[in-house]
Amino acid sequence: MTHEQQLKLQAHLDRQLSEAEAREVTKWLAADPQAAALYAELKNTRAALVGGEAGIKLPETREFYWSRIAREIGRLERLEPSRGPALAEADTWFARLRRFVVPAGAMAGLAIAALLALNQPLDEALFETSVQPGAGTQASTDHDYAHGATLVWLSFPSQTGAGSGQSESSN
Amino acid sequence: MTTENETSSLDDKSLVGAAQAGDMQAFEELVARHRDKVYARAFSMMRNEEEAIDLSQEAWVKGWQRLKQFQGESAFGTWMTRIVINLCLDALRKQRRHPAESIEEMDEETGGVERQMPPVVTNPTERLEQGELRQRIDAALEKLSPEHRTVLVLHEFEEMEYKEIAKTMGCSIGTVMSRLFYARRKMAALLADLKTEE
Amino acid sequence: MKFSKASGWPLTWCILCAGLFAFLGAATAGEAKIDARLLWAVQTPPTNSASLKLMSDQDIIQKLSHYRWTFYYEMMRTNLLVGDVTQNVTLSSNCVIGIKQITPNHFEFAVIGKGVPVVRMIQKLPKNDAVVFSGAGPESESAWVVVLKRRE
Repeated sequence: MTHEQQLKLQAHLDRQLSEAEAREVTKWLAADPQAAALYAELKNTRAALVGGEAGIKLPETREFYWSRIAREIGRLERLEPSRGPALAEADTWFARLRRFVVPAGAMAGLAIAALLALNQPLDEALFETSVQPGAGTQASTDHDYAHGATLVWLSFPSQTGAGSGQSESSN
Repeated sequence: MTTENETSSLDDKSLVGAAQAGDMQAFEELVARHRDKVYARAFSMMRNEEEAIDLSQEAWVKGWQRLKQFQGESAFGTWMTRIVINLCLDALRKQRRHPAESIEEMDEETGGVERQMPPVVTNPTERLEQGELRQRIDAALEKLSPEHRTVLVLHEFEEMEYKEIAKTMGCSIGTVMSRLFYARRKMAALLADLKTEE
Repeated sequence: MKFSKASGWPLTWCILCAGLFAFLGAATAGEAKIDARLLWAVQTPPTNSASLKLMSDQDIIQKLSHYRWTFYYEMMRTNLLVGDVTQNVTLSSNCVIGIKQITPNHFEFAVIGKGVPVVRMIQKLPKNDAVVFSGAGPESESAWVVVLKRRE
């Protein structure tokens, strides 16, 4: 069977042939078991895929999913007015005053921000990882920096006598 | 502006009309109704949950921006899936590392090894529960290349015709037919393999 | 700096202002999006595996690669928006997780099992990282696994 013949079988399955061509293929299928077997395989595969997406559900709640969309729409809509053509600035006293006020305001803002930064401890040093197990609980912690994970294995020796988390690790 | 109770009782056409007039609540109801379908299409193509979520959300934002262009020529859900398909195709093109054709792609033109494979005689999916069948199809789709998976998704799930797929993917109808043939035969072989593994 | 019409001062001041706003933005703790999943981990698939949802998220599978389990079935999944007020999520009748943002990148986690505090932890959690709590399951050769992954 040539590749063209195989594609013709597929086109027949997908109803892409003219009536005359379809009749020819039907006769061919009745006379050629190999062609009939290939056609059956293509048909079975197509049937298997019907409704193949039916079980796929969005793994996010309605509100969670919508919140990001709404935020992005809002952000883009706020940008649009500023995309208008820039107007030529008239050399008025107001324009001159604004040229002074804007940089002065920015300088003041930077000064305040710098003061705040000096008084605020660095995020990195503020907290270290601390684990406080409850009564009757043992917690063993492992960090997988390569994959960005902190793993805490909890065991309750008084109940099960089970080992610690390290025994569950593959390492 | 419609309230939430009102929007849930309206049909898609009314919601689209309200959304086109700027009613965000109506658009949110449309998102809620069609989000699974749009996400499913993105996931079928990208095979990655986070990418599919991101691209589906991007599609909804684009849908809002282009809403006035929607004239009801197709179902609203279909219009949205077309948007997400184009976004997925753009994302897949960016992911392609080598512009040169792979051996698989060169094989497509001649039919490749799948042309010579004997047909899978028994139906590997019969007597399977629907959930189990979906898992097998999922696993098999994972193993196809992005191009073959795309043509399969566009034909089988999006129900596009060859000509439309060719236009969407930017290739010839002959290439679409070869890719679809290759993808179907590969799926049949993978589904049969999965069955015999058990 | 002299201000003249011909100078490039607008661009310079825009950059300075952008820097100021970026700093303020970084210093402000916005809400973080956390994806919470309860998984059941086993070494071999159970007899009813066809009815269970196999977790296939490759990133999470990699994050769990230190464990010896082969199969993870997703029993429950939800998302949280976490700010400076503790958000509680009930993952099962035996498991409640409380999460609170302390700094932009640090969170306090509390695991409550059957109404009893089991562990409290403060941990740095940047975007795409995960904190995983786990323990032995009710059956032998199984474990419960709670994955809290930060999406944004």
